[in-house]
Amino acid sequence: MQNQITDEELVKGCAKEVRHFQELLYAKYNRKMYAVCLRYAKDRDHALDMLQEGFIKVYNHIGNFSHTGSLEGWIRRIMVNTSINLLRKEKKHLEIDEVKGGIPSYSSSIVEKMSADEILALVTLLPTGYRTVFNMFAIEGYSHKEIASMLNVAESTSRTQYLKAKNALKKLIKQNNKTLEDVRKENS
Amino acid sequence: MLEKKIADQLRNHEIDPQDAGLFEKIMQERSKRNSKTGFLLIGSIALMFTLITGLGLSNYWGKVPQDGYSKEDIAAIRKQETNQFVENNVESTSTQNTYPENGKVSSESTLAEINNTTETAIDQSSKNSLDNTNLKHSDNNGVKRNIVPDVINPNYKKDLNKTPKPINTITFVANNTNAKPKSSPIYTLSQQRVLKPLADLTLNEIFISDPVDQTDEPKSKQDGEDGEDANENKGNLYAFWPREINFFAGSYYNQRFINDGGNAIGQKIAGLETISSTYFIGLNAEYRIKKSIFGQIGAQWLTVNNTIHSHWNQTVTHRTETVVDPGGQSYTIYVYDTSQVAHAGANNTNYYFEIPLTIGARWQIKRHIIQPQFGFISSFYNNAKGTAFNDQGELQKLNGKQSMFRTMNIQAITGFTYTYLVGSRIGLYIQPNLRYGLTNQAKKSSPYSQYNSMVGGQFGLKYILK
Repeated sequence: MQNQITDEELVKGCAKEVRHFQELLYAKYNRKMYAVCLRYAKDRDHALDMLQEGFIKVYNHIGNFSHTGSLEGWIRRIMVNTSINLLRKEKKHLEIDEVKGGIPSYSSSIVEKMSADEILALVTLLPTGYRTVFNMFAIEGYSHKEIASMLNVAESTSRTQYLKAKNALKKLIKQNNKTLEDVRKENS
Repeated sequence: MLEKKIADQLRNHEIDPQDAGLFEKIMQERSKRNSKTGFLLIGSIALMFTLITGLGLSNYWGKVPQDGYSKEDIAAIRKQETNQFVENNVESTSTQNTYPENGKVSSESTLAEINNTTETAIDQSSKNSLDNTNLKHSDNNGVKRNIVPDVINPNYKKDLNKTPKPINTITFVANNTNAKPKSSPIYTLSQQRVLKPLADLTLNEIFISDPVDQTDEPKSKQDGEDGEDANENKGNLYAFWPREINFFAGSYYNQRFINDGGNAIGQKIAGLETISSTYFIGLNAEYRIKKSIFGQIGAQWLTVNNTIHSHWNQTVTHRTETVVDPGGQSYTIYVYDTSQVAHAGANNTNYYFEIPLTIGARWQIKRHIIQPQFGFISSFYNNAKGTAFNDQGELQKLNGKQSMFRTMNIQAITGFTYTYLVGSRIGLYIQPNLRYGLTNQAKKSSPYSQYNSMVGGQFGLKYILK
């Protein structure tokens, strides 16, 4: 039944405040959106708050969805915006923690071997400012101009943040590679 | 490319939030916020409307007094009277002439002059033929002037015949001229009223005067700028009586917002119990704070009916004891009968005594009165009957109150009243309004918090006292 319902029907049903369709929408997208929120949040509870706020906005404004893009993309955008707004409220999104040390050399095969959960765990370890810019640019596909506008910073700041985030992530990957290898061996 | 590899891994990554109740929380939070938003929106509009209307009407009435004199009228009268007063002072030898036309005295008049004028006017009118409504008096210069024609009206004569009044009682009228400095640049409504012809005073206005209070000390602070109201506050025995009494009844669509906080009992109650109907009856007294601003305080009795409408099953076990004595030896046989009992729902009714306190603006055009208003209601939980959930989420017969509810809670109310006056003192009105719970209705110890929001209205009968 759920698979037969299109996004268009979901949108119409939710716009009419039909609870059944609201539940279906939630069931369809909550896992993906929770993963999005987790990338921006500092912990699980924080991510749940973001998810809740995001879905409230989705239900409140779904009547405005224009069907020009995908529903998933629209919801994802709302989740990202909501997450950024919550971070902004907490005044933490632009706190830049310098990660000292040179850029480590690493093999790209290390990342390929890592699972999504492992990568996510490392992304979560990034300072909030780095993590936000990295998520927006590398994963969501926003341009630096868009990021600068959304975060209310200069475009050059966004670029710098991104480069620093990438270097910090490389370092984290390198540092954690050995640990991860050990864990994998133990699990196997 | 590090970022590309990471993006590929994370873009379609899915993680279960592992919070089964999250959807319900989202729905409840959303309803709560939407309700709050609606309330704040309507409340803000009503408040703004109240303030703007109130200020506008205050301003309007300040410019055009009730007795029909505009600023321009007052200026013209003043000019005329000032000229006349100067002329009298210079040319007249008789104090009988110093009471000017239209019962007005220039602001330059001294208290003594005013007293003298007033007394002379009355004295003269008493002495002269009261029936001669066209009486004119010539001063020494032969200029004919009206001698307070208003004094000679039939009503005045009638009053005098009924109740002879000592002259010193009437002089109270002049006392209030102290309300304004003698150099006051323009008449205020207060002075106009104070200085109006004595015959126009009602018996009430005459007898409430205090002949002892005739000092020359200024009382501008007491009488203030509000003229009529200030006079009433000072002397009128009925100043604290309400202007109107409203009798009303109505009903609400009552929405309850339970924040169960993930608690199973709260969820159960939120899911199974709904408010089916809410109605009330009451009365209130309306006071006039200023001409266009009013306050109401009242008492009302509110009844809230709840329905536990869902069905659910409960396992009930009955044990039956049977004693058998087959051969001198007694045995007790226990028979256990386990069955599913289906509950088909229940009802309960809660009773509240409430004190609404509101403030608003009043705008009357002929027979139509519009009154936007807002305020607060103190709601006292009075009694309950029927069957309801207890703190453990079990159904129990009520005897008095539900254990989870507080004795008192505060609600905000906003709305507007439209009244149609069917007679000089009687009006019928309708008042759509919105109420919202500001305090938690459930006790602290309760497993959930509850706020009620009500949309509805009342029909009523307005009785104007004065």
